[in-house]
Amino acid sequence: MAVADEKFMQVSMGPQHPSTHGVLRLLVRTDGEVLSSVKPYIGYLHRGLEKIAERVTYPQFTPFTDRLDYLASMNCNLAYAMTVERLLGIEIPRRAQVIRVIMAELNRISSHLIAFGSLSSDMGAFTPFLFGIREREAINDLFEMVCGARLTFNYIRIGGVSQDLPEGFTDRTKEFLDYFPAKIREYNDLLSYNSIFIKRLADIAVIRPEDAFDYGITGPNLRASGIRWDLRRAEPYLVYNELDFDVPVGRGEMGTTGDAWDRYMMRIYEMEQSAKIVGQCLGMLAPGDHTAKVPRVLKPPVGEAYVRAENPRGELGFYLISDGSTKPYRLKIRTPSFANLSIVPKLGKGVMIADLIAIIGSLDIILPEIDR
Amino acid sequence: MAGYFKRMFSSIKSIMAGMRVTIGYGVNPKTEVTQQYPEVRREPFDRFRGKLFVDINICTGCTACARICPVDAIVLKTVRDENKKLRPVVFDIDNAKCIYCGLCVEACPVDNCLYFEKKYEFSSYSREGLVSHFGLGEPKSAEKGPEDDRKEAVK
Ligand code: SF4
Ligand code: SF4
Repeated sequence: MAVADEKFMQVSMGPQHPSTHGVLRLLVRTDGEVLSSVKPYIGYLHRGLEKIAERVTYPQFTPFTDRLDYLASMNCNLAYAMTVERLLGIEIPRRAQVIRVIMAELNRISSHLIAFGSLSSDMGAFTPFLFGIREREAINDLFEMVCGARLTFNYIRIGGVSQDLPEGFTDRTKEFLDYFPAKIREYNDLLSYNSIFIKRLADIAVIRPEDAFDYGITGPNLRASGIRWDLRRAEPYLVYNELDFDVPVGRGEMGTTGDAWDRYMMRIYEMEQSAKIVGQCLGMLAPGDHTAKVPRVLKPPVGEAYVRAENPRGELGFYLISDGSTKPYRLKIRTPSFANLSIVPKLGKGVMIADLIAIIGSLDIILPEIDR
Repeated sequence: MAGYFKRMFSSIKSIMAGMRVTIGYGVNPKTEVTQQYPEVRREPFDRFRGKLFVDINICTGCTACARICPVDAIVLKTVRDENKKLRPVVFDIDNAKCIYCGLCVEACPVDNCLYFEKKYEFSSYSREGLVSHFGLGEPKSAEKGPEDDRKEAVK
C-alpha cells in the first residue's frame, strides 16, 4: 500500500488475493471507494510454454496444452490436436470426432460450473460454489473413467483420442444428463434470480458490442453483449454442423445487455446447450476407430497453420509453423482470457472496489492461460 | 412506496427459493456427497493414472519410454549383458517431475511392463523419497562388456 498523491491511494490487489482467480495482481488507484484506475500485472505463472513447444516433439507438447486452461484441458488438447492435424492434412475417424465433441462439451460444462461457483463465492455466497463442485465431480469421474486423470487429461491426441470409451461410460453419462437439468434449476433458485445477486451484477461493467470487438473479447463474454458469434456455429469443426443447439446471447434481462449478470447467465444457458449436445452425440456414437493412423514420428511438411476453437472462455487459437522437422519451429498461442482481461482497465474506471471483483469474476479469466 | 414493498417482497421470495434448496439438502441425509477421508478411501477407476510401476524383469531396455517423456522424468541406463541383451541397470522415475501424462506407458512395446498403479498416496519427506528406483543394478558377473558396448541411453 502506498500513497500515490494526496487524493489517491494505491493498493495492490493480489497476486494472492482470493478473488483474482489465480495469481493476478491488480494495481488499483482509489479515491475512497471509487477506483480511478486499474492496471493488471501478469506473468506470475509464466512457464514459457511457447518456447517449450520448440524443444519437444509434436506429440510431446500435448500434455503441456493441458496446462493452458486447466479447467478446460480437453478443449485445449482439442485445439492443439486440430492444428497439427491441419498441418499433417489427416482426416480423423468419425467416432473419434464424436468422442471429441462429447469430451469438449462435458469439459465446457465443468468449466462453467467453476465460473458459476467462483463468481458466487466472490459475491459472498459460498454455498453455490459447493453445488457447482458437486456436479463437476460427477464429470471428473467420467473423465477419470475415460482417461485416468481428473484435471490434466491429455486425452485428445493428434489423430484422434488416446483410448476408446470404456464400458459403462455411455450409461453413466446418460445418468448425469438426466439429473443435470434439475441441478441447473437449483442453481437458478439459489443464485441466478436471487435479488441480492442481481443487484450486485445487473448494470455493472457493461461491455458494448463495439468495445467487445475493439478488445477482441470472445466466448460467452462476447455473446453476453448480444453478438451471436460462436465458432461452433460460425466455423463448424468436428461434427458440430450436424448438431442441434442454440447459441444463447445476452438480452439484458435484468439490466443492460452486456452487463455482468448477462455474462454470468450466458454460462448457465451454455451449460444447458452443452448438455443437449452431449445427449445428441451419445446417440451418434457408432462403432469405429478411435484414432486415425498416425506415424510414430511426426514430421509435418513445411508450412503453417492456424486453427481456432471455441473454448469455454472464448476462442483459443494455435498458430504453428513447421520447418519439416519433428519439432515445431514456432508456436503461438492465442488465449481468450488474455484478451478478456485486457478490457478490465476500461471497465474498472470509476466503479466501486466491490464491483471490480464482480468484473473479474464475471469475465471468468484464468491465469495459466494468460501467462502461459 | 408501493414499489419499495414490492421489491422487498420479491427479494424475500427469491431468498426463500434459495433457502428451500439448501434446507432441502440440509435435512435429507441421503444427499450427502462428501466422504470422510482417510476413513473412507475412494477406489479409482481402472484407467486411473497413479504412480508408475515398471516390471523390470520383462523390460527390454529399449528406452522408448525415456525418449517420449516430455519432462525427462525417467532416467534409464542400460548395458549389454553376456547374451548381448540390454539390461536396464538404472531405471529411476522421478515422481515429482512426472506429470502423469501416460505417454511412456503408451510407448512401451512390452505388455504389462510399464504401467500406472492405482496408488495415489506416495508423499515423502524428501525429494529423494519421491524417486522410484527399479533398476537391476550392475550385472554380478565379473566380466563386463567392452567400454564401447555400454550405452548411455538417455538423451
Ligand atoms: S507419465 Fe509422462 S511425465 Fe511421467 S514418466 Fe511417463 S512420460 Fe514422463
Ligand atoms: S519402454 Fe518399456 S520395455 Fe522399453 S525401456 Fe521403457 S519400460 Fe522398458
